[in-house]
Amino acid sequence: MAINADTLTAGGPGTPARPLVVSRARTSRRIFLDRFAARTVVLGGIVIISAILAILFVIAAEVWPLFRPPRVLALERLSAGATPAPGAGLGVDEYREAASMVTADGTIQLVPLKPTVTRAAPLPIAGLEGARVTAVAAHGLDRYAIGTSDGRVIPLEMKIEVGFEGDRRTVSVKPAFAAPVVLDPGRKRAILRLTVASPDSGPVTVAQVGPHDLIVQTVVEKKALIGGTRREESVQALSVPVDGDIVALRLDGRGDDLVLGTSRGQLVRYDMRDRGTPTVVETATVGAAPVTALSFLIGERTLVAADATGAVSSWQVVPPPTGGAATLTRINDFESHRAPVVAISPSRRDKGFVTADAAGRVKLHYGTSGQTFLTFGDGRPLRAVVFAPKADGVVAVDERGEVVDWRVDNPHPEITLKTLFGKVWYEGYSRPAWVWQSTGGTDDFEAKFSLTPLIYGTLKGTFYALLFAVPLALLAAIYVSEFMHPAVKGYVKPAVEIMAALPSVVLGFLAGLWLAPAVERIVPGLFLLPAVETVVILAALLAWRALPPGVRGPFRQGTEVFVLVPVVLLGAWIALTLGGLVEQRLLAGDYRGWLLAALGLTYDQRNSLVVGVAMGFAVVPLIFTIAEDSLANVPQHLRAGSLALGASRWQTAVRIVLPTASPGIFSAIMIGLGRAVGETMIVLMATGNTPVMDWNMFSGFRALSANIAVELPEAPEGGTLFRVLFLAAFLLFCLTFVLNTAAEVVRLRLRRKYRYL
Amino acid sequence: MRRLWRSGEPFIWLTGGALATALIMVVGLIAIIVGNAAGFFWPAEVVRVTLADGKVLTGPLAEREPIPGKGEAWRIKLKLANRDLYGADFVWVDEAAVVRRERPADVAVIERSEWGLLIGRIAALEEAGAVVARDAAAWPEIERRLPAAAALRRQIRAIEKGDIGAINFEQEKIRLRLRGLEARGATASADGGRSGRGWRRCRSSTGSRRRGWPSCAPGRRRGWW
Repeated sequence: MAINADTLTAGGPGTPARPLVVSRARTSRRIFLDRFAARTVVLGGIVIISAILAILFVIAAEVWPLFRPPRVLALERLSAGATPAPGAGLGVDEYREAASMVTADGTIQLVPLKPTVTRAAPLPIAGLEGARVTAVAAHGLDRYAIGTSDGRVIPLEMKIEVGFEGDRRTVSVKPAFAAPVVLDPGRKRAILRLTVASPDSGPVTVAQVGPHDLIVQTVVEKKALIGGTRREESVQALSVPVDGDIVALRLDGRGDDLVLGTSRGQLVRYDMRDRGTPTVVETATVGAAPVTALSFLIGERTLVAADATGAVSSWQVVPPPTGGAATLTRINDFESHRAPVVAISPSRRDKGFVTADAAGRVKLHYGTSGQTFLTFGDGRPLRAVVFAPKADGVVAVDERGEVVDWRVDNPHPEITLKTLFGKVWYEGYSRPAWVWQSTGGTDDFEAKFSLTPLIYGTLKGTFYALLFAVPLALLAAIYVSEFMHPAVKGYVKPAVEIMAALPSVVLGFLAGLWLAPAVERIVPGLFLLPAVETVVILAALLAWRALPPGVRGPFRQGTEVFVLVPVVLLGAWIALTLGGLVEQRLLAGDYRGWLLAALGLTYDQRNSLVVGVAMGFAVVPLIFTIAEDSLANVPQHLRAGSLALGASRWQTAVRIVLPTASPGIFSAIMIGLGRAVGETMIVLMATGNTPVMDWNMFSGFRALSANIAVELPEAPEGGTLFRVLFLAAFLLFCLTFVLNTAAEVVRLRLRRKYRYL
Repeated sequence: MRRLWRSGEPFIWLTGGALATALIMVVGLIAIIVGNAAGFFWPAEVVRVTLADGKVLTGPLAEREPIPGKGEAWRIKLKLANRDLYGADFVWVDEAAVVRRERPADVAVIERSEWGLLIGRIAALEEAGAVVARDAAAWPEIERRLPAAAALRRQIRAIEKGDIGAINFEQEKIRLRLRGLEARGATASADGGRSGRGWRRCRSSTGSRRRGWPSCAPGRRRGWW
C-alpha cells in the first residue's frame, strides 16, 4: 500500500500507486541466481575445507609409518641337523634365502630358508686336523675366525653366493679358508672364546685359553713407500687379574678397546691402542650375575652387555660431563629377558640389535632410544641368533639344531616419541641431549632427529620478531587511527602496507647479506635506540611548542608525523654515535668481547636480532593494518562522548577506543604470530640455521619451516628423514591451527563482551 | 610542563614516532634495494693507483671501508677484472699504501662474452692480421666495427640455436622413437634388416649400418658429426 498524490487529495484509503508488476520470468531468474550464488559459496567453502583436510591427510599418511608398531612373523622352522659351534658362527644372506652355520662338529652348513634353495652337503672345515671347533668369532662383513681345541685359529671368509645353472638360480656357500695360525704353540690349550678385529692397521685376535689367560695376536701392516707392505706379527700371553673367571670378551672394530666380562658381573676394559702393551684401564659393574654375552653395535662405539639374569644394558666409553678421561658409562637398560642371554647380534643398518635367551625368547632392541620393540620365540632354548643384513629378519638356532626364521617389519626403529622430543644419549656425548643432525660424513653416522631444537628455534624467532613488531605496529596503528589527520591517513596507511608486498625472499636476502653485517657494526647503538628516540621525540615536542605559531602554521594537528621523520632520523644518528662512544669508553672498544666476558654470550653475525628486525618487516604491516582497521571501526559516538566530557585525545584513545577495539587488536597480534611461526625464507637466509637451543639474542637458530626447506630436497622419499620432515610440517600445521583457533575464540569472546557498545 | 604531560601530547608524539619509524623502514628498505640495484646501470669510474712499492693497479673502485680494529685507517677494493690474466677479480688496498691516485683517460673497459671484464689500454686494433690503428686512434675504429661484430655474433647464435637446434631436435625424436620401439620389444632382425624398416637395418650389423640411412646412427652417445 503506497501513498500517492491521488490518495492524499481524495482522502480515501490508499491504493497501490502502481501495481507491483514483477514478471514471472524475472522472479524465477532472481530465485535461480540467488540459489546459484548460495550454492557456489557453500561449494567453495566445502572445497576449501576438504582441500585442507586432504593436505592434512597426505601429511598424516606420510608420517604414520614412523609410528606403526613393529611386527614380526615366524616364517620357517627347519632342522639343520647339527648344533652351532659356540660363538658367532651363524650368518644369513642379504635376501634371507639361506643361513650359514659353523657347526660344533666341524662343518659349514648351508640351511635353506626359502624353498627355491636346495640343501647342499655340509662342507668340512679345512685345516681342522682332528681338532674340535671350540669358538667362532665374526668380524667385518663375511669374515670369521674359528678357534680349535688345540689352540689354533682358522681364518675363514664365507660368502653366500647366488649363481645360475642354466636358468636355475642356485644359492651356495663359498668358504675360503686361510692357513691356520697357531696361537698357543707351547701348551696347545683349547680356545675357549675368541674375538677378532680387523682395522686398517692390521688384524688383532684375542683368544681366551684359560679362566684368566688370554693370548693376544696382533699383526701390524706398515705400508712402505717402496716394496709393498711390511708385516709384523706378535703373539703375547696375558694374565688378567680379575675376581672370578673371564666368561665373555669382545674387541671393538678398531681394535682399540678390549672388554672382558667376568663371572662376577664385571666389565674389564683393556686399552689396546698400543698394540704391544695392552693395559687395564677400568672396571665397571654390570650386575651380580655372570656376564654372558658382549657385542658392539654398528659404529663400534656402543657395547651391549647381557648377563645370566637376562639383564641387557648398553655402555659407551665417553668422557664424564665434568670433563676428564673417558670411562665406560652405562647408557641404557633394556627390557630384561629373565633368563640367561646366550647371544647378541647387532644390526648392520642401524643401532638395533637382537638378543636371544636360554628360555627361547628373542628380543629386538634399539640401542639409541633404549627401547625394546618386540619379544618373540616359542620357548625352545636358543643357542645362536643373527640379525639379517637388511634388519628385516632374525634367524636363530635352538639347542636341537633347529633353525627358526622370522621376518621383522620395523622400517623406522630410530623414531620414537622419546627420540623426537626427549633427550637422547647419543654415541660420543657425555650426557643426553636434544640434537638435530640428520646427515653426516660417514656411513656409520647415526642420524639424530630431535624436533625439540627446531620447535625451540621457531618459537625463538617468533618471540624476537614480535618483540620488535608488536610495539611498533600497535603504536603506529593508534597514531594513524586516532591522531592522524584524515587527509594524510589515506596516503600513510598504504605506504606502511607496501612493506607486506615485499616477497619474504627479498627480506631474507637483505637481512642475510645487508642487514646482518650492518647490525654487527652498530649493536650498542641499536640497544640505545629506543631510549634515545624517546628522549629526542619528547625534546622535539618541547621545541615544537616553543616555536612561534607562524612557523607551526602550515602543520595542522595530526600531521606531526612529518615533523617526526627527520626527528627520528636524528635520534637514530644520535643513538648510533652514542653507541660508538659507549663501545669505546665502557665496553673497551669491542662489544663482542664484553658480551662474552660479562654475559657469557657469543655473537654470531646471523642472529635472532637480525631475524627479529627482518621478520618485523613481514609482520608489522599485518598487525598494523588489522589493528588500525579495528581501531577505526570503533563507533565515532564513543570518541565524541568522551571528548565532550572533557577527556583528552590521549585519554580517549587509551581508555575508550583501545579497550573497545581490543578483540581486533588481539587477533591482529595472533595473525602476526601465525605469520612469524610459518615464515620460512627470512629465517632460512638470516639465521645461519644452526639447531642450537639458547635464548641468546645474538645466536642463530633453526626453525621448523626453514628446516623443511633446507632438508627436504635431499631427503630420500619414504626414508626416515623424509617422514620426520613431514612430521615437522604436521607440527607447524598444528601450531598455526591452534594459534588461529585461539585467536578466533578470544576475539569472539571479547567481541561479545563489548557488544553493548 | 605538567599540563603538557597530562594532556597526553607526549604520548601522541611517541606513537607518531613509531609510525615515523615504520615509514622510514619502508622507504629505507626500498631505497636500499633500489640503491644497490641501480649501481648496476652506472659503471664506476676507473681509477689507477700507484702503491708505495711501485705496483700500479687499475680498475673501478668497488668499495671503501674502515680496516677493522685499526681505528681511522681505510682500505679500498678495486675490481681489477682480467680474471684470465691475474686470477682474482678484486683486490683490497690499504689507503695508506697508495701514493698516487688518478683517473686515467686512456683505459678501456671491455665486457667480453667470456671471462668477464677486460681492463687495459688499447695498444692497437688488428683486423685479419693487419694493424688498422694504434693507440688513441684505435678507439673510433673499434666503435665503428662493433656493430658488424655484434651482427656476426647474432648470426652465429642463430645458427647454433636455429639450424643446429633443429637437427638436434630431429635426432632426439628419432632416438625416442628407437627407444619406444625397443620398449615394445622390437629387436634387430637377423637378415640384416632388409625386411624391416630403416632402424632395423642400423641395428643388425656393422655392414648394414654402413649402408644404412643417415638417421639410423644410434643416438647421442656416438655423435655423428
